[in-house]
Amino acid sequence: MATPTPRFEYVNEGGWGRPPPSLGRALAHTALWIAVVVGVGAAVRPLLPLSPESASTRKFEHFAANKDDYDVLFIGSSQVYRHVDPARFDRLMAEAGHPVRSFNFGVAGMAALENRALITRIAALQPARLKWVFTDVQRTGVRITGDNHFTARLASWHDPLTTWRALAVVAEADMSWSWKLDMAARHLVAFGSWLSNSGRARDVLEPHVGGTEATREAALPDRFDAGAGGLGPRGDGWVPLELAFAHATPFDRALIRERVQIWKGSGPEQMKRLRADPHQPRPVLEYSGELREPQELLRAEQALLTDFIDQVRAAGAEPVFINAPDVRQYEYMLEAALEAGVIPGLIDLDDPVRFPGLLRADVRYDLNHLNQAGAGLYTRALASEFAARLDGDGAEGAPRR
Amino acid sequence: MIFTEFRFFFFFLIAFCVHWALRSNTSRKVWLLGCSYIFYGAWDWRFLGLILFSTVVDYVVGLRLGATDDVAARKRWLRVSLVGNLGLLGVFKYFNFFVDSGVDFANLLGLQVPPIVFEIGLPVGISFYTFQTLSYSLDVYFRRMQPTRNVLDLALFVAFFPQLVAGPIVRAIDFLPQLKVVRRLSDVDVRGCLILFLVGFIKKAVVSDNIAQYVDAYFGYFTNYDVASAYLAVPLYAAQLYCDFSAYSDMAIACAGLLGYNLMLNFDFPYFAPSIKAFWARWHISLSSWVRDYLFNPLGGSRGSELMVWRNISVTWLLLGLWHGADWTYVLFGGWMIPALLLQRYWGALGPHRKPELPPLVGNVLTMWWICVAIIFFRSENLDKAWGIVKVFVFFQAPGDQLLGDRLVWLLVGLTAVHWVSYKGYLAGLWDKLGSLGFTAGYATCCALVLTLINPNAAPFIYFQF
Repeated sequence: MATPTPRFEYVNEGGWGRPPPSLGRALAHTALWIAVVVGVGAAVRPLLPLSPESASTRKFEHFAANKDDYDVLFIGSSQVYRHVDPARFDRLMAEAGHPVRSFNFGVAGMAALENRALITRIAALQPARLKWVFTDVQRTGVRITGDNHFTARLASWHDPLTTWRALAVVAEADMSWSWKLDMAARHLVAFGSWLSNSGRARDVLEPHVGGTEATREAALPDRFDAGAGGLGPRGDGWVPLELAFAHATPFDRALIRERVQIWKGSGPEQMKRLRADPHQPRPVLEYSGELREPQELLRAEQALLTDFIDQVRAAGAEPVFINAPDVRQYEYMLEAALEAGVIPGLIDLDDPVRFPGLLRADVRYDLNHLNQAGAGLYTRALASEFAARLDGDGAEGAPRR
Repeated sequence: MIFTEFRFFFFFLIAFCVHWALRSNTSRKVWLLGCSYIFYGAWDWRFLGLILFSTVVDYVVGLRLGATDDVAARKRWLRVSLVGNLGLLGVFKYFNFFVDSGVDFANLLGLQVPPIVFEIGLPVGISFYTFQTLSYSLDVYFRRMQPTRNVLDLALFVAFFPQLVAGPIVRAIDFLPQLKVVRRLSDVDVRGCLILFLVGFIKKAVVSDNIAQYVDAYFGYFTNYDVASAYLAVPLYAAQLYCDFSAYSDMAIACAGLLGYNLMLNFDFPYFAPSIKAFWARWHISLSSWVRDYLFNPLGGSRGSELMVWRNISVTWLLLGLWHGADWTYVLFGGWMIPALLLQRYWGALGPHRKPELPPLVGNVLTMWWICVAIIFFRSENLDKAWGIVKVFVFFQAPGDQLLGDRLVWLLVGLTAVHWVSYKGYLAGLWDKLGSLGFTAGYATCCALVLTLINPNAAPFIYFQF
């Protein structure tokens, strides 16, 4: 005979002598539960430190501590993070008669949605001296891949309004319904993580009860990825890429050479025409089937950029948009925004005719990044363009408005 | 789909609401069966066929066993169930293990046999549901219960989603009678279930998932670390394993309870057990009692000659080790229990006047140390690594000099203290003092605070691999 097995008696067929549950009571308790979870989460959120796993944390903490020291911020993707040398920019601007102090707030992989959340937090700091905020975002970053599921970084920028913008971009995107549902679910999960402060208190406790930093890095080397948003050797947020383009594949090198030749031959008018026509793929697009054709600006993207501009102005500054030289040219949000009159202007450094040096293989790290030498050229071009804009130079070569 | 994931909460919310909204018992069971297949199919829908196969085989076997008194025929039908269920396990879980071991052995003898690779995935939870279905056929065979004529009941018993992939291993004799009675929500201790689910959630998402990084660091690079690190990492792994596995059981029992069904207790503070025998009476109780009732006792149990008892204990524990995984490390995990159990057997036979009385704490510490050595085999990927860590833990021969982290001691002390307070029952009844609204508000506050402590990069439950 088998021995009787012990059971948890959570179900008593004789009842528990409590009042029978009703739908109304259940709904009331559910509403109370949600209200308390959201309320406690909101109360606790300001007390919790930013996650060290979020790549912008180090830069944000630095900026918050020195918020009244800077006139210029560069916010954006790795094309800001790796390309803009603040010290050089400051020196060149001073030489041009516009002394400023700048800080590189670039973070690898940061796109417009994350940018929006970050500028909102920066604006809330009310920096006293901030005059200009540069950004380069060319894509929304609405697509969450499997690798980025449930990261602290993803949760960090899914505040309610940014999530709403993300859902709007998803709804409007020219994609299948299954893609839309999948992406919407991923954004909602990330929002849930933001709402619940998922995992943020463990960062407070861990130094007191956890292992050494080396232990943690050995276990999860990607968790504390200093490479994505470090302060850099001079503490100004710039971390150059040291390697030259020599490691690139022959195909990549040929792609760059070819593009420069084509554009040099086509001339500025030809280039303008190509860019103005959203249905006209650039010649370079023939090199890869994966490249997407330029698309019109979605309403949700427009709202996203308008949010950014509003937040920059709320911080007492003016936005400056940059088109960075990128051989891949996946998306063209800023050019489309300029055409639609959404953004006030665009400093266009993605111009092989005016800035052929930025596409040379020897100043490149890869298809869309410049190495340290290239960053020097890029910063010089940016400072020159911006100074000309401040001087009101309307001659050929001035930034388009 | 993992119990700690957002999508499980949505899934369960829908399952729960529709279940109680339905009126008839049959429609509820059909609904739960559908939910269970969706739940399992979320991992890999192709393996649903195995569950269906197991269900059909045991349904037919049960009916045939109930229809005849002929001993030979009954044995034949039992054999069909054994071959069907153990055959599934053999093919999907152990085939490569036996083939690899055979190839290694042949190579050891000097025969040049090339490696044979059979690419096949391990279906989640196969060890659990095959044992469940086997228990049904065995109980019907031993006339402990009547076979069910209702294929829906049997299918739901096999696939019931709260415990489908990692236990507790439910017995048909416990579960099938519950399916005959219409469930009533007023019979459910909703508050108790919610508390148990939260406890399980904390164990898994807060404790186990956060400890894992230190355990992984040590077991991944143990040659860098010193002896003290081994004495931190191995007990931490014990804590991780317990919190991970018992958490699944807690949440499974809670989910089943919310749907109106009782499941058996699976863990009863095993790390406070004073002996190895007591430990196994409290750890994975549904498996250890299954093995006792369907393997150890039928083999003869503790009756017969000493040689037979040795044999029964050895066979039982080696197979119990192998149940966990298709690797020699798991066989040694089970085998490591044999000397302790035999020692305990002869120690007990000395009688009250001849054996020295040990303070209970000594028994606890010795048992815990023995379990720690066992789980080194359990956690290590291969025998070489296991032996390397055993040398550090048992013989104090550390290859490295790094320390995993001295502050981890406080983590261990804290976990032990909380566990002891729970063991003593000091936390029981705290919630009872709250009124209805107070409970909801307090529970929500706990949820909000617990969520801040979870590891967002949640790992699957350890026992899913079995």
